[in-house]
Amino acid sequence: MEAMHSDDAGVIVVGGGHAGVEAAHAAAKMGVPTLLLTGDPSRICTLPCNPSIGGSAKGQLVREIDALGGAMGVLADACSLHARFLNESKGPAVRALRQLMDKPSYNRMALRLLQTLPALRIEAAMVEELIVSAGEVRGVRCADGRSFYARRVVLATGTFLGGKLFRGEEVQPGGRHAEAPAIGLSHALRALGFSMQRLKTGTPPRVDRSSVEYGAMRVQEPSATPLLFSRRSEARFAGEQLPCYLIDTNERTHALVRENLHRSPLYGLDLIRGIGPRYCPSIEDKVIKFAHNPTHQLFIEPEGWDEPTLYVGGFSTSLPADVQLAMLQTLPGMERCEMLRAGYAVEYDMVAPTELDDTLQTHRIAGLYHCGQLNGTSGYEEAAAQGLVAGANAALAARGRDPLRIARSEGYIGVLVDDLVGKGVDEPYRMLTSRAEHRVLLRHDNADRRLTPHGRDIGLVDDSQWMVFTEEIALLDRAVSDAERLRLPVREIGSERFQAPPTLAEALRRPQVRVAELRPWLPEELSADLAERIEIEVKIEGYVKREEQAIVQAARRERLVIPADFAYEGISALSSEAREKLARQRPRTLGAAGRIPGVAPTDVAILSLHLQRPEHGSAAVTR
Amino acid sequence: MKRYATARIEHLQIAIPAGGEDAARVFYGTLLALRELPKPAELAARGGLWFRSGSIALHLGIDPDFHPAGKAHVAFACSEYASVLARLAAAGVAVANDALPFEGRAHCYVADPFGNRIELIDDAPSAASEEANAEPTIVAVATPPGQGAISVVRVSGSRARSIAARLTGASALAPRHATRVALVDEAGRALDDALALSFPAPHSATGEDVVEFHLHGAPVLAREVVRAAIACGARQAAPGEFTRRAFLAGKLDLDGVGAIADLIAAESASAARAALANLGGALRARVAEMRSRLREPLERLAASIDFPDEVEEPARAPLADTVGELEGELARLQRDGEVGRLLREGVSLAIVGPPNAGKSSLLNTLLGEERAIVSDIPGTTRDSIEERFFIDGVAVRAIDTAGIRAHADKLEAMGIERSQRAFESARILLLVLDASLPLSTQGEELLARSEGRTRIVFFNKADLGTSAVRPVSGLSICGSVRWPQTLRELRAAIAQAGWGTEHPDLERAHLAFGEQFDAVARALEALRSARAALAADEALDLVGNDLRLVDAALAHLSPEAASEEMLAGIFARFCIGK
Repeated sequence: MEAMHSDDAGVIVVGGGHAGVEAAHAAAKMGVPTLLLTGDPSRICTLPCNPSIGGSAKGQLVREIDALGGAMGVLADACSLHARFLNESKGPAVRALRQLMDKPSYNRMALRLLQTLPALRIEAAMVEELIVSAGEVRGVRCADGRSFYARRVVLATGTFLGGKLFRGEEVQPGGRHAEAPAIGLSHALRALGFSMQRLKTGTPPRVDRSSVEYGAMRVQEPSATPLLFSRRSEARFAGEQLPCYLIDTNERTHALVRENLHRSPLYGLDLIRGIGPRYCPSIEDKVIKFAHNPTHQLFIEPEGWDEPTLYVGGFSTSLPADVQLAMLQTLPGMERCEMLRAGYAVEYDMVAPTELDDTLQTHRIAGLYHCGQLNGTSGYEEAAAQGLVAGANAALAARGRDPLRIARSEGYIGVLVDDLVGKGVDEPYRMLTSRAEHRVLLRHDNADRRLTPHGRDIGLVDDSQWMVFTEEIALLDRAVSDAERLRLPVREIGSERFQAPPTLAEALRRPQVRVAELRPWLPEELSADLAERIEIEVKIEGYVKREEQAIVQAARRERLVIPADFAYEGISALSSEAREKLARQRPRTLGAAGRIPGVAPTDVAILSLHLQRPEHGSAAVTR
Repeated sequence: MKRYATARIEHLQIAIPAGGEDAARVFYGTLLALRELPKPAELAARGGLWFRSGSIALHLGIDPDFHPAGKAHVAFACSEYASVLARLAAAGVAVANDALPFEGRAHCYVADPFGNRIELIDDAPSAASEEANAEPTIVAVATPPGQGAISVVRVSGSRARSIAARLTGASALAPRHATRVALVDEAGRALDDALALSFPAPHSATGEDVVEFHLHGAPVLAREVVRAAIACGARQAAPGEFTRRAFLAGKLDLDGVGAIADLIAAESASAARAALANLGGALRARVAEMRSRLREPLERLAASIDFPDEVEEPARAPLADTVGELEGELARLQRDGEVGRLLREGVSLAIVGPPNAGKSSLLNTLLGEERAIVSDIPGTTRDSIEERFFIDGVAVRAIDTAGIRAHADKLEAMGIERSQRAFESARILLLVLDASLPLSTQGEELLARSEGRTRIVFFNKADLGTSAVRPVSGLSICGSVRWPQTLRELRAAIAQAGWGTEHPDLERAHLAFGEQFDAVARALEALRSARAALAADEALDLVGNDLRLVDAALAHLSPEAASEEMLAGIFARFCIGK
C-alpha cells in the first residue's frame, strides 16, 4: 500500500522528444501544473533522424498542431533553412509544406519555449516504474530512487523502451545515438499486463559537408519566399536558405551491399526481430527487395547552418561502419567524403495502441496516456500530434472537462488517433494522404478553420492566435463571397478564355487560372497566403460539398455511441474474433467499431441491431 | 451554455414621425403580422407603438425631428416569407429583391411608410440543406402483392408530407387521422378516392415523417401512386428499408422478441453471409476486374502524392482511356440490370381496344383459364384486371382495360380512368380491333394514340371477316383468339416487343437490388465527373477523388459490402418486428 503523498503536479510527462514536448507544452499552456521528466533536459527535441519537418500528410499534421495552439509549427518556422511546397501541381488538397531544420536551433528553441511556460517544471530523471493504485496511476518512480506524484501521467518514451542499437556485429543497448535506453520502464509496463510489440527503424550515415563535391549532384533549390507552418510566425526567413541535392546509387554501391550482407544484423547476422517500416526501407532492403532497380535516389540534406554534417536521406543502413564508408564513396560527388557518424538500426518496445481509447488514455490504467513512438508510429510530426492530444486530454481530465476528440473528417490527427486505437500497428505507422478518406477537406490551407475553434475551446489557443484567426477568416469569407459577385472585364483577363465577363470565382474555377493573375481585382490588404486560400476554396468547392454530404450520411454511425459497459460476450451472433476484439478495444462509436480489422460488416449490422434494443436505452446519439 | 455579460437583445426601437401611429399599425401590424401590445400607461402619453411577435420586441418611438433610417435597418426573419411578400405587394409596398441569397436564404428590402429601411429574410430552411441532412424519402406498397380489398402505399422521410400535399391537394393532413382525399398524380390527373393518414416524426413507425395512402385494391393503382410519389421526389424503397429505418430510429418494438433476436440475428448473419457468398459470382468477378483496372493508377497517384520526389504521377491519357472503358462497361451493366429488373418484375402489357373487340376473351385464352367476366354486353368489364402469364419464363403482367367508350355511364367512370392510365404506363400496348366490322371511330383514335408506342395491333375475329384490316406501323397480327396459330403469333410478338429477339439472359442481369442500381449510378456519376475533370485538365488529386468514389461504389457491389446493405439484407430476408 502506497503511503499518501501530495501531488507534485497535475500532469507528469515522461520523455522530451516531440511527443513529450508537445504534451508538456499543451498541458502547461492550458494552465495545469505540469512536470516534464527527461533523461537530459539539454537534449530536448534533438531531431535524431532526418532534419525535415513536414512533407506530404505530415505537413498537414504540423498545420493542425499549430491550429490547435501547439508548438511544432512555430518552432519549425524559427529554425527553417530550406522550405518547399510539395505536390503543387497535383491538387490543392495534397499540397504540403516541407522544411529542413537547423537542428541546434530547434533543440534550443524548444527548450526556450518550454521555459516561458510558468506552469511547467522540467527535471532530469530516468523513469523506471509507474506507481499504480487500484487501477489508477498515481505517479512515477525514477532510477535514482525519487518518486513524483500526479494523477495523470503521459508516457512519451520514443524508442527508448528496451532500445537496442545495431551496426554490423555491434549491438548495444541505447535509445538513440549515445543515450541510454529505458529498460526498467519497459519491464514495468509488461508487468502491468500491457501488450507489447517490437519494432525497428534506422538512420543513415552523416558525412562531412566540406568533403563532398556538389558539382556532381542535382540541386533542389529552396523557395525564394518564406514558407511557414504557423500563422503566428513572422513572414521572414529564419536564416540563410540552403539548397538540397539529389544523387543516385549505382551498381558498385549495390555490389558492396550484396557482398557484405553476411555482416548485416538484419540479413546475414539475423539479429533484428523487430518489424521495420515498408515506406522507409534501409538501403539493404532496397537493394535486395527491389533488385530490378538499377539505381536508388538519395537526398543530401544539410542538418544546420553551422553543423558540419550532411544527412544522406534514403541511405539508412545498419551495415558495419567500414562498409558504410566504402558505399558512400561509390556515390557521385562523395568519392572522397568523410563519414562523421555511421548509420545504425534501432529496435525498441512499443505498447499496442489498441490498449488505448480515443483520448489516448489506456483502458488498463486510468490517468495513464501513451503517445508517440511508444504507440508504434514513426516520424516527428506523428509523435507531436499524439503528444498534443495526450497532453491536452491529461490536462482536460485534471480539470474534469470533456476530452479533445478530433473526427476523421476534421483532421489528419483524427485519422491518426482513430487508426492507432482502432486498427493497431504492425509496422511503424506513418501518416499518408491515402489514409485520410476525407482528404479533400483536410487541406494544409484550412487547418485553422477546422481546428482552431477546438483549440480555443480547450484553452490551448491564446487570445492573440484567436484574434488573428477570427480576423483572417472574416477577411477570407468576405473575399470569397465578393468573388462570386465581382465581374472581371473580358478584355483585361484575356478574351480568348472567356466569352462573357466572368465573376472572379468563375475565373478561378478554371483549372488553369491561378489567383496570382487575378491579384489586381482582389483587396490589396490580402496576403499571398490568404489569396491562395481563396483560390483553393473557390476551386474545389464542388468537391468539398460532395464530401460534406458523404460525411453527413455516414454521421449516423459515427454518432451512435456504444455504452462503455456494453456486454459483447452476450451476443452469440457476433463472430468470435469480432466479439473478442470489440470487448478488448471498446470502440466508442459504431463507426469506430466498423473500422476494427476483423469486425465484419455483418458484425456491425448485428451490433447496431443490439444497440437499438430497448434494454440498451443508454445507446445515445451524440453530436 | 455560455453566459455573456451582455446577453441578448431586449427590444429594437425604430423612430417614426409624430402622428405616424396609424400608418405604422397597418404596415407593422397588418402587413408584417406583428402583434400590437398596449404601451404601459406611464409611457403611452409619449405616443408610439409597441409590437411583439415570438421573440421580436419592436418599439416604434415618436421622433419630433424625424429622419428616415435609409441604411441602418432591422432585418426580420419571416417563416411565411412568400405570403408576407404577397401582402406587401398587394398593399402597393415596393419590394426590392436581392438576387444574392443571404446565407442561402431569399431576402429583400422594403421601406416602412416613413422611409425606414426594413429587411425581410426567408426563415424557411432551404430545401437543399434539409435534403443534405436527411436520408432520401422512400415509398413502397406496404400490402402484400396481389389482389386485395385495400392496398396501402407508405411514404417515409422528410419529404413525405410535401409529397402528400402534392398528391392530395390538401395543405395539411391532421396527424394520425384518416382523411378522405381525392388522390391525383404529379400532373394532377385523378388517381383514386382514397384515405390518407399522416404520422409526423418522431411519432411514426420509422421515426420519420410518414404518410400512408389506403387505396382501392387494384395493384396497378398502388403502383401508380408509388410512381407519382417518385415523380414528386421519393425513391422506391429497397426491400426491408422501412423496417431498417424503424430499427435505426429505435422504433421497432422488440420487447418480447428480444430473447429470440439473437437467434434471428445469428440466422440472418449466416444466411446473409451465405447469400453474399452466392451473390452472383459472375457479378463479383466483373466488379473485381473493373476495380483492378483502377487500382494501379489510384495506387500510383497515392504514392506520387506521399512520395513526390520518388514516384511519378500516373499518365493522364491512359487514365482517360480507362475511365472511358469503365463508363461503357458500367453503362452496359446498368442496361443489363434494367433488363433483369424488367424480367423479374415482369413486363406490363395493356390490352386495349373498343368494347367487344374480344379483349377479355384474349386474356382468358392467354391465361388458359376463365378469369375476367366475359359477356357480349359492351362495357361488361368494369375494372382493370391484372393477371400474369409467362412467356419463356418471363412474367407478363397483362391488364385488361375496361372498354374505352365515348358514352360511359357513371359507374364506369373510374374504371375508364384507370384504363387510361394503364394505356399510358404499360410497356407494351396490345390493341385489339374487330377485323370483321369497319373500324370504329374509337378504333381509329386508339390506332392514332398508340402510334409511336411499343404496340401490337391485333385484328381479331378474322374468322368472321377482315374488312377492317389495313397496314399499320409496328407489329400487327390478323387472326382469331380461337386459332392456336394466332395465339402462338401473339405470344411471339409479345416476347419480341418485351425483350427483343434475343432470349433474355438472366445470367447476365446481375444487378438485383435497388442499392446495387444506386451503386452503379453513383459509380457512373463519379466516372463522368472524373472524365470532365480530366478533360478540363484539373489537378490529378481531384480526379483521384472521383476515382476513389468509383472504387467505393464498386466495392459496394462486391463482397466487402457495407453494413447498411447487410442490414438491408437481413431485414429483407427476415420479417422482424411485423
